[in-house]
Amino acid sequence: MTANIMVVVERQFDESQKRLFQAWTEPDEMAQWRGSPGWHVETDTVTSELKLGGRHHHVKVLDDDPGVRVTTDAIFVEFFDPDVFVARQRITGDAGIDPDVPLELRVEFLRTGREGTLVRIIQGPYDETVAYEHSQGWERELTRLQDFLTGAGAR
Amino acid sequence: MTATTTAAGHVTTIRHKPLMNMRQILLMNLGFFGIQYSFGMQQTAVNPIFSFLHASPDELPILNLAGPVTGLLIQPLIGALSDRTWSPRWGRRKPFFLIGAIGCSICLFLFPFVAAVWMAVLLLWLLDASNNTAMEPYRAFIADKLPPSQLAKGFLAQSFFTGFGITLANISLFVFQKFITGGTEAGIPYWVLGSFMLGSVCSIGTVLVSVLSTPEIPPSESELAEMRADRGGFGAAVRGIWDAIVEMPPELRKLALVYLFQWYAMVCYWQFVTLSVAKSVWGTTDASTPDYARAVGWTGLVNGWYNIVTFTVAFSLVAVARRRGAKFVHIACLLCAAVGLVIFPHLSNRYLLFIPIIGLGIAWASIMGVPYIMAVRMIPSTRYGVYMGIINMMIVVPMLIQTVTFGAIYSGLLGDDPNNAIMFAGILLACAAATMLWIKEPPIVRDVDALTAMPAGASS
Repeated sequence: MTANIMVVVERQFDESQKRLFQAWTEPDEMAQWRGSPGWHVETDTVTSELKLGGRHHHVKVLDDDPGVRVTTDAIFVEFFDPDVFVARQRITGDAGIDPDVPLELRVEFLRTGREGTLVRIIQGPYDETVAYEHSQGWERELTRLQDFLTGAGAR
Repeated sequence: MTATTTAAGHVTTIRHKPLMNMRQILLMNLGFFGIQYSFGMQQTAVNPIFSFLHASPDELPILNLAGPVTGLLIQPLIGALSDRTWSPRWGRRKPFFLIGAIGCSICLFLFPFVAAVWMAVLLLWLLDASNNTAMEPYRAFIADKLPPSQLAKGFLAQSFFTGFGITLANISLFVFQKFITGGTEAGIPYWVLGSFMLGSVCSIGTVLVSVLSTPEIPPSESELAEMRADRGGFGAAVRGIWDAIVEMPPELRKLALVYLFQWYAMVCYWQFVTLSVAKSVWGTTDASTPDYARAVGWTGLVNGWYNIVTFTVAFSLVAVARRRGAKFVHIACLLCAAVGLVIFPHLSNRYLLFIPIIGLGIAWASIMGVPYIMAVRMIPSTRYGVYMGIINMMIVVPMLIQTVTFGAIYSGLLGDDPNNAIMFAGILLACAAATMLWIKEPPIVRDVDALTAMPAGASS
């Protein structure tokens, strides 16, 4: 099966572009909300050079089984605070993702006319069989992000 | 696609967009060729039909009122309605451009048989409404189907088919005139009839190919449920337009100013290019002279040529937009046209006219595609339809303003000189380019095909 599906996930937030960009990129902040429910980011694994060409690394761990680890290594190929960042990713440890096929994660923060921000995540290419699962994962992560921003979900 | 609502009332939308190859992108846009052929006939052949039916030249602007008025009213409504539409058999956008194409086909078929000006006017309104119904959802269709990294290809494929469709419409008139003689009792030549018949076939035929070859991305059950709950018909569509205007991203508002200059300029060009060519090359502005008739024919060739340039360069702009950004491309293209139009009226050699007008052809390719690449990156994907309609309002409002104001400018500022009108259009396009600098473009979307190198440091 060829990986040719791009997953696009969008949600509007009431916070500013700046606030959302910070929550997504600052290691201390992103470690508090990234990961689907049942997973967490190991705080001491997060490193991030927040600049064009900068490297990023983090490990997600299954809450109930710390032996299950998904590692993300990435390079920021676009980094425009607070509008967008694009990371070329290598993800290992996820059964649905071939670690030898690079993924692209693009996250856009678009100001709307009413002080809100539209967050648009574009990631892929995915194999069709796993695209659904990963898009659902993003949806749950965005709910976590919302909880984090409102102070309801910080770890 | 799925859509769920959070406690804060914000909807999460999920879409899965397969990457498309070039053949699929061209097939998806083929219907745009038929629609633009229809527009080409409207632009080039309808006014001569008015003339054949003895309408006077000073009546032509009011007889052409259909264009901006139907564009202003119909496109946003169709856009808002299509955002709320789903048919398992026909899709979301396809029902609209299929209905529009059927309308175009019928109108094009009937047009050469009109026997009075009022009949031609009525058909023009119906034809323009059909064209608008077909064209607006086609823009949203591209945005729906293609992932961001392929949007440039999609919109510039539409530019390609715009140039190709209008060129073939003009060429058909030129060719049929050479080979077909005779005319209807109302005085309409059969060669005009032949072009309309060809347009009728192209319009429905090409749209059918696109409809049958390109499936739409279906909504999930949750989104369908939301659509069913949101049934409000015409009133809801109007409210949707108003909300979209109020909530419009600031950068999209700035695009309206760019459009004010560029579309005002384009209308000035279309209205005065024939007079300008007649004056600068043949030294006349008297429409009753044979030289003026030659100028009309030559202008057709000049316009055909810039449309050939349009479809020739359209795909090259994709590569430049990917490397340098859509904003840069549009500024550069508008400046090409500005320089070309400032030079154009100073040339008295008719063959040399084909050189500066290349600039307009390049700009036309950009105008019909590049701003959309930026616009769809500024708006939520659930509202592509209504925003594409609003962008069209940004086109037709300048046209209406031009209709109301340019007469006074032409007499008071430009000395009733058509050459000055063309230079004025060039200056306005330069203003549009300058205004583009004000827009903060969402950073460049790289093509996913460029993803080759692996990030180092992973331990598998």
